[in-house]
Amino acid sequence: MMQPQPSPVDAENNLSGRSPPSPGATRNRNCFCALCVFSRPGGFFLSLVLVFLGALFWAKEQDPFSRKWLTLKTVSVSSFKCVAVLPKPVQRRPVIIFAHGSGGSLMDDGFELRQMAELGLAVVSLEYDQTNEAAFPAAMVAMQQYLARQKWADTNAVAWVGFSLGANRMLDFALQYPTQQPRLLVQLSGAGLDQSTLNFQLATNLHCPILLIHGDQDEIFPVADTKRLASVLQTNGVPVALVIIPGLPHGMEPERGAVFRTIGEYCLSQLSGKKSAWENYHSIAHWQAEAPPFWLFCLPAFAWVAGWLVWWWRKQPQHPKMPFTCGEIILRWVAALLAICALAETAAHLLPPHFAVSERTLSIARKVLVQPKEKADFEALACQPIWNGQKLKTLLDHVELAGYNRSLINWQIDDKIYRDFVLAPVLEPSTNNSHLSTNLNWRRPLWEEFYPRIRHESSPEDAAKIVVRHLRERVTIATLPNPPREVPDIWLKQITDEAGFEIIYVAALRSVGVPSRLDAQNQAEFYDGTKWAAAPSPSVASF
Amino acid sequence: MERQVYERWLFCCLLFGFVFVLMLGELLAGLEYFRSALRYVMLASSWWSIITVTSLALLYFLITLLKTRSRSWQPGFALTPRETARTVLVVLSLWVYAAGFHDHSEPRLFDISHCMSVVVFITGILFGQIIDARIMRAGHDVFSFNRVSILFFLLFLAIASGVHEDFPYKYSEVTRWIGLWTNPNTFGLLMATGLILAFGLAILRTIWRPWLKALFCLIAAGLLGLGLLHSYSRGAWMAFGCGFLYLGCRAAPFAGNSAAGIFRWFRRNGLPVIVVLCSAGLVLFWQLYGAEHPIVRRLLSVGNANDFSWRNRVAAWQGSSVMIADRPLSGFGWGLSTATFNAYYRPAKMEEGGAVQTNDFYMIGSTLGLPALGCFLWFVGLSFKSSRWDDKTPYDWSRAICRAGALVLLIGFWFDGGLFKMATAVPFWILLELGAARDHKTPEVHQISAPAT
Repeated sequence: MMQPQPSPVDAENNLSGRSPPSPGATRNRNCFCALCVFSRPGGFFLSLVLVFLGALFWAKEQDPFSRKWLTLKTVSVSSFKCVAVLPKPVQRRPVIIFAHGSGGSLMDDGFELRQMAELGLAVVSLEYDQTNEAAFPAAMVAMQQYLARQKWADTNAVAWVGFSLGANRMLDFALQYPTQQPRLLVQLSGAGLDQSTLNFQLATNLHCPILLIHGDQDEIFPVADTKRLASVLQTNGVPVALVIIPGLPHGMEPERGAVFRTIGEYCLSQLSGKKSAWENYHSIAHWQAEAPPFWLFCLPAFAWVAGWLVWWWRKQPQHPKMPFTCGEIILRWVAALLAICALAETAAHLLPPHFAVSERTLSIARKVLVQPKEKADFEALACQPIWNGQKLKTLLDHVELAGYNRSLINWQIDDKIYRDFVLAPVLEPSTNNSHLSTNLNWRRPLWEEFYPRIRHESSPEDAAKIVVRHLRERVTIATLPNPPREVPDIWLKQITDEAGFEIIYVAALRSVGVPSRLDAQNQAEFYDGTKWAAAPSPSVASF
Repeated sequence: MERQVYERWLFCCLLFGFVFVLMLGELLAGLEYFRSALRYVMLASSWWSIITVTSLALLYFLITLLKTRSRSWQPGFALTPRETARTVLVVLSLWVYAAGFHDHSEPRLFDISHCMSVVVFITGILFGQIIDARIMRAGHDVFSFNRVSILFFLLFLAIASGVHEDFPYKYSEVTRWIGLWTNPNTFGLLMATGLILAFGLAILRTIWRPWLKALFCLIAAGLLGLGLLHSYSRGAWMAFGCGFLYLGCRAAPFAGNSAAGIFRWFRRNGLPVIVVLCSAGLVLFWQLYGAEHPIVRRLLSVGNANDFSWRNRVAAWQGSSVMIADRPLSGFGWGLSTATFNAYYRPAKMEEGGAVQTNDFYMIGSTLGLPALGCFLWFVGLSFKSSRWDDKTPYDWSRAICRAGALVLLIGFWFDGGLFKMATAVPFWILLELGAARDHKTPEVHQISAPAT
């Protein structure tokens, strides 16, 4: 059994063989010990546990999704696993049932589910038996029964999205159970059915709208089969839309993320109506920006430490102070002076960036904040008449990040091109004053998002392809009455119109060091090192 | 020779051999036959996995039972809180592992790294039991060959620190040393552990002689320090700092009356000293911010908002926290934690989710649930608490050295991981058990006071 532990103070007294400290020294010792709350293991661990629990709750609040891990039973008492990804707040929403392809599993579906759930849809995926075709209908029936019991599922607005084998199984099920058909059926890289059977069944059974999506480089199911299927469906009066995406293989890589976002957008506009779909759209970036800050969740830990200190302080007996020696007085003076210096220097670094740009703040920045290698860029940017009302931090971010990024990328940029088309925070041509940006604080969020994805690329063109692909994964292009046009707004709301998309596209390219601008038609173009060229367009704009 | 001496050297050789082999664990794991053998045992079928798990559980309980019986010669269990914590931890791990196999029979989810992690985790705990049992029998004797083992361990690390190839781990343009291992963070953490042990043994030999060994330890410390510096592993640097502080606190009682005077002075002037240190650190931070020297830049990069290394870690902690909050009791099961994070919990801005594997505490929490994490922390906490510090003997100092080494590894596990890697897990469990060892023999035999300094 464990022995009772002596306190550290007692143990050290015993070890050193000295008598307990004099009463005069007790108060000073207490000052130190009271601040060293962490010297007590119990207190230390409890405060850590409180911080840890606070972090758990904070992370949960920041998380834009709620996930439900389910095991459903079919009528034949076999069970299968499902995952539901629900956007927060959990409320009644249109539903997508997703069936992955051959070889897929719930572990592979997460990215696609989240891409679609981001748009405000409740998305459910099921782990169906891929080797037993006969078991699929029972699983789908069980799934629909489950959804009918859920408050968050709007069972009048259900879409089925199937990929490859999942698409074929869903089409089969829709044909076999006409009463269970959804409001919308999306077939992605599907179409492996026998044509003669299909024709007969479609004429009688299928009545829901169908979206067929296929890559023209599909190596599993030829695109011709999908075209034939679309033709048969149209002949039979089934509302069908066919989308052939050029250059994409069966798995839709590397545009898979953009394809699933676009499918989500299509489903939402079909299930909720084109108008109301985007009026109530609440992006996950917006959700996270509105979430409470971390320090709020650490309050219990702070309160515990403060309470412990107060309790400990009151517990100590009051004793007269012993006079300080000369050395101790000098030590305290040194401590005070150093603390003032440290606080002043910290304030000089941290406070000015939060003030507006003015001659005074610029002067402080030149002396304290700008590194020597960034001085030229800083001066070039500071002299532009665009900083009225902007924070100094925005200017400093542009200078620092653009310069840092320039040192990291694998291509060279001429100084003039760099300053005009990479460093410059205003994106619109100077002639087009009607839409001139007023919020210039866009570089950091875009750089943090895009730089890790292009860091291995060796040319601006390759980087531009990655940028536009990822941008389309994150931002919806829609026709809106008052679309956001400022880059930070677009990034936060994750939705804009075509013109807005071109603006944020230019910003994203500049953030990763690709010289870019809007041309006369307000289309993004980039400088490939020798000439200006049209920037790559997104493979999938909308369905 | 007497049987006891044979036993001692046999155990010493076994210990060192085990450590030596497992230090090369990453290389061993790269060998195809080893991988396929492990795969056969762990993955051949769910029946095999259940048999394996059951055997491990039985073995564990057998050891615990034998140990308890040998201690008390009474039927039944009489476990200490620490042993209870360990028992619960092992049973939880095994249960979740078996449940994971039962739920997910697809072998592709269980690649070799997942098998290795469970093997390392459970073997570490089992090996700790064996050491604990040995210590119960041998009492203080174990520390004499423990020190020999540590000397060999240091020698091995010191030699390994000099091995570095042009591996593609770079910080800016500087190559990060990796020694015999495949990751500079593992290398750095081992160097930090070795450095603490070397310092500790050097102090021990300075007090209790012979000085020649102290000299050897200092040379080893130099080599290890060089390795630590060139690993550019911030987690290892920080872990070393904490271990050094811990060792310093534990060293004071051994230093005699002069140390007591210093402690008294520090107690009276602790607050201004801390203010001076913090202020100086802050001033230095701002003065050196933007410095070009790679080590300084690396050191200050924790305050650099453009550093994706630590920001990805923080994002991964955030994702892992949500995972723990979603399944606080059972976790997601062995091998599924990383895959689940990547699919469902990875923040959109993270390009890849490898950072989630760098924090073992979150890994245990998201894999096994909060009870297992609490149990692990409870066990480690008891290991650090369960000794009295009222003797000034070489044995107490040996324990302090081992604890400091275990602390270094423990802190490293927060930043860079290692509890599921053989190279770092084995030294951790050994040092933890040796540091937690209590004197089971009559204390009067071993009362060797430190010479006054």
